[in-house]
Parts: sequence; structure tokens; C-alpha cells
Amino acid sequence: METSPKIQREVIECCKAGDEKAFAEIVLHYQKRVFNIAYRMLGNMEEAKDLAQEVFLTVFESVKDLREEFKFGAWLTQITLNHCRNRWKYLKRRQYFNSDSFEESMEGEDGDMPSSVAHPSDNPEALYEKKMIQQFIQKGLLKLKEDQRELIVLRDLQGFSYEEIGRLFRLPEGTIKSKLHRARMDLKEILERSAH
Amino acid sequence: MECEKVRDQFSFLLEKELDPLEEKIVREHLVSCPECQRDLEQFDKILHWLHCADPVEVPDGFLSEMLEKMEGQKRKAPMSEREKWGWFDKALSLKLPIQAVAMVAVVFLVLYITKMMPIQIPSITKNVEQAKPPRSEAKKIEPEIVSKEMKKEKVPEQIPLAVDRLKQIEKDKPIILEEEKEEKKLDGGVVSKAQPSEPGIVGKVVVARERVPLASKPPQEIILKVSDQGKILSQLNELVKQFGGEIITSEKNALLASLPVSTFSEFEKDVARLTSFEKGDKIFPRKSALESSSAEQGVKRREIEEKGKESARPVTKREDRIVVRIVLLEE
Repeated sequence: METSPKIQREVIECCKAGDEKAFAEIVLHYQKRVFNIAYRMLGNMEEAKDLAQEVFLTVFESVKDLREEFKFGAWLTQITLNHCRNRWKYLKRRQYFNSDSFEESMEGEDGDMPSSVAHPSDNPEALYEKKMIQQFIQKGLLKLKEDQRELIVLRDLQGFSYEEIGRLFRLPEGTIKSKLHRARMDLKEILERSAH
Repeated sequence: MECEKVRDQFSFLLEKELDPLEEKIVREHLVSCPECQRDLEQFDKILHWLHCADPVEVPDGFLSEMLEKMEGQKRKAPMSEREKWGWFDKALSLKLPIQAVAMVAVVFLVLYITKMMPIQIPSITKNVEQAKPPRSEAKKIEPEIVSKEMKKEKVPEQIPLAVDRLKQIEKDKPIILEEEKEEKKLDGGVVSKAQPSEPGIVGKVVVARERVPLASKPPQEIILKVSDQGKILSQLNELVKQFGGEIITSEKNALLASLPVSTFSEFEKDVARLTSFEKGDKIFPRKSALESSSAEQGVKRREIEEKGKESARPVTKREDRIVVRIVLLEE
């Protein structure tokens, strides 16, 4: 299930007509989802912000071509994923993920696998541990194959249903489930390897 | 059940998507296999971490920054639109001038090719031959004149060059005279009318221009009956120089000189006076006509000297010259 409820059809219609207020409403409604997908896919806040803005600008330019307004959410996610793929390729070509700036942006440290994140509290130590786990996970995600990362981000981090993911990837649900399981097992191996 | 197959069911087991029978088999295996049990625990922990990961907050000013970007793009868009079609406008504005330039280029090309046609060259050569150039120089003059024709347009630009070149020619005159002597020998004593060529094309063209009118006039001939040829010859040499003339050839009993038209009559009178001085009243019939006061002659000489100086100016300002052949006959 999508994290954001669907936006009203009228707003999309107004946006199609070039209404900037309607567009701003759409941005406010979907910015968190788009930004989070971008961040999880790229692992960098600045890149994610830039990419998310690009995504919305693309949306504003091409929303007039969208025929089925009820598919706006899926269409937006598809645009986001396409932008992420392009940006990933671009950054990879520039050796961004091997550079110091990337290491600094992650601010993480390898070490023993964090024991738990199940009991976050106001305790600073617990908060710190939670932050470390987030970075640990993020590093592991970036080591996955791109399609595996997309599946985990959409399903486990963004809460998309198998049906929605199946539609996005144009694959049967069963295939998505198998692929997702394979992705999770690979992530487990990656994290175990980096913990030791 | 094998461990691998059990591990493949972890996601379905944790998401409760296995049917009861399958779930029972997997759980039985997990109880009997501590390794698979540990793997399941790790798997569950990572899944839990993923599900518990807090969404990242969108940076402040995300929307305003994006709207600014959008405004920037809007401002750029009309520019780019203009730029997109700008080349077309430019092409249109350049279309006519390009056509005109192309036409001019074609005309020049046709003229160039026509002038380069071998059929045209004899006619040009014929014109040159009218000036009777020496055979040895004929071939050199041909391309000179052809190039003159071809470069007709460029001549104004080359005038300064030509003047420089003429100055150089002035310096090189002794060399020219030597060459002329040789030509004379080749032509059997006929006065050379086309002048020897210079190394530079432009120089050649200008020299040819200058010398053709000179050569086209038949030489004046003065026959003097004298007793002392050597003395008269030297006096004649001096006179020629005095009147701003040039000795073309000098032989034992003949002298070929070119003189400015304006000073020629004075020169002629002085030559007559010279012979009368040498011979007395008897010999030169024109003596009486040449008699004048010494004061008058002094004034005339000064004038002539001035004219002679003027004649030393660049060739472009020179007046027409007369070629005179003075033959000395022994009395």
C-alpha cells in the first residue's frame, strides 16, 4: 500500500492546465515519498534533494500528457525510479560511490552488526544506535544490485504492495516476491560480511 | 527438508504467506537445524530494521527552491526558443548576400578560366609582340600581361608595391642597360622596344606599361658630321645627362639616348650648337636658328637642369620620352 493517500483528481487537472498552486499542492503531497526513494536509492541527501526537484519539474512539464489521472501516483514513482537509474549511472561513471565525498556523506562506521533497533527510546545511546543502524542498512543497500535495491526500497522502506510493485515492474506478483526474497537474503549476506 | 529450501521460505514464513502444511514443515526443520534457526533470526532482524527505518525528512525550502528553479527554466525557455530558431533567421538574413557573393564568385571564376584558356594567350602575345619584345623576353612578358589582366582588380592595392618596385628598377637601371645591349645584339641592332623584365610580376607589369609608349615611337635620328668623334661623344653624353636623358647605348660612332619630350627641342638645339662650336657655321645648317644670347642660354640651362631634376622623380610622374639616335659621321 502506498504511504501517501491519493491526491484529488481536480488538483491534477488544474496542474495539467499549468496551475502552479495545484502543482505546489502536488509537490507538498508527494515530496516525502519522492525524496525518500531518491535518498534510499542514492544514499546522499543533496543528490536526493536535487533529484526530487528534477522529478517534480519533469512532472510539471509532462503532466499534461498523463491520460489516466488515477494512476498519477504510480506514474510519479516510475518517473522517480527512472531519474534514480539515470543519476546512479551518472554518479557511478564519475566514481562518486568510491570517492571521499560519498564516504563523508554516509558518516557511518563499519564494525559489529548492531544488536537491535527494536526499542528506540529517548535514550541518546539508543538514538545513536538507531542512527548507526540506519547508516549500516543504507550502506548495505547501496551494495545491492539496482533492481534489488529498488524492490527493497519500495516494499520494505516505502511499504508498496506486491501488486503495485508488480505493475511498476510489469512482473507477476510471484516473481516480485521471489526477487524480493533474493534481494533480502543478499542484503543479509552483505551486512554480515561488512560486520565481520 | 533441505536447509536451502527452508531458507528460500524465510520471507513467506515471516510474512505469513505459507500455507499451514508448508509452515509446519519449515518450523520442524528450524527446530532441528540451529544454523537455519540462526539465519532466520538474522533475516528477521534485518527485515525489522528495514521496516523500522524512519523516513528521512525533506530538507527545508525544498518547494521554494524548486519553484525558483522552475522560474529560472521559464526564463531560459523563451531564450532557448529564440536561440532554436535564431539560426534560421540568420540563415534567411544571410541568404541573399550569400547568393550575391556566389554570383560574383562564379563570374570571377568564369573570367579566370576564360583568361587562362590557351586560345586567349596568343592574342595577348600578339599585343605584346606589337611592341617587339626580344624573343628571349617574349615568354616572360606573356605571363606578365596575362597576370596583369587577371589581377586588374587588385592593381589599386598593388600601387604602393609598384612604386617601391619602380624605385628598385631605378636603382637597377645599369643592369637593364646591359641587358638591352645584349638584346640589341640579338636583334641585329634594332632598338629594343620592350624592356627587359624584372623579377617581380608587378614590377614587370608597370615597366611594360611605362615602356610601351616609349618603344612605340620610332627613334629620332640625328646625323652629325664631326672631326673628333670621341670628344663629341663625351660632350653628347654630358648633354644627355644635362637634359635629364638616359644613354641607352653608346658606341664608337653612335649614341642611343632617351630624353624627355619637353627637353628634346632644347637638347636638339644644344647638339646643333655643339657641332657648330666644333665645326663652325659651314657644317650645321640649323646653326643660325639656334643662335641666342648667352644670358638666355644660361637661363634655359637652369630651367633644363630643373627639368632634368624633375625627370629624376619616380617613374609614375615622368613625362613621355623620345628615343634619339645620334650618328657621328667622320668629316
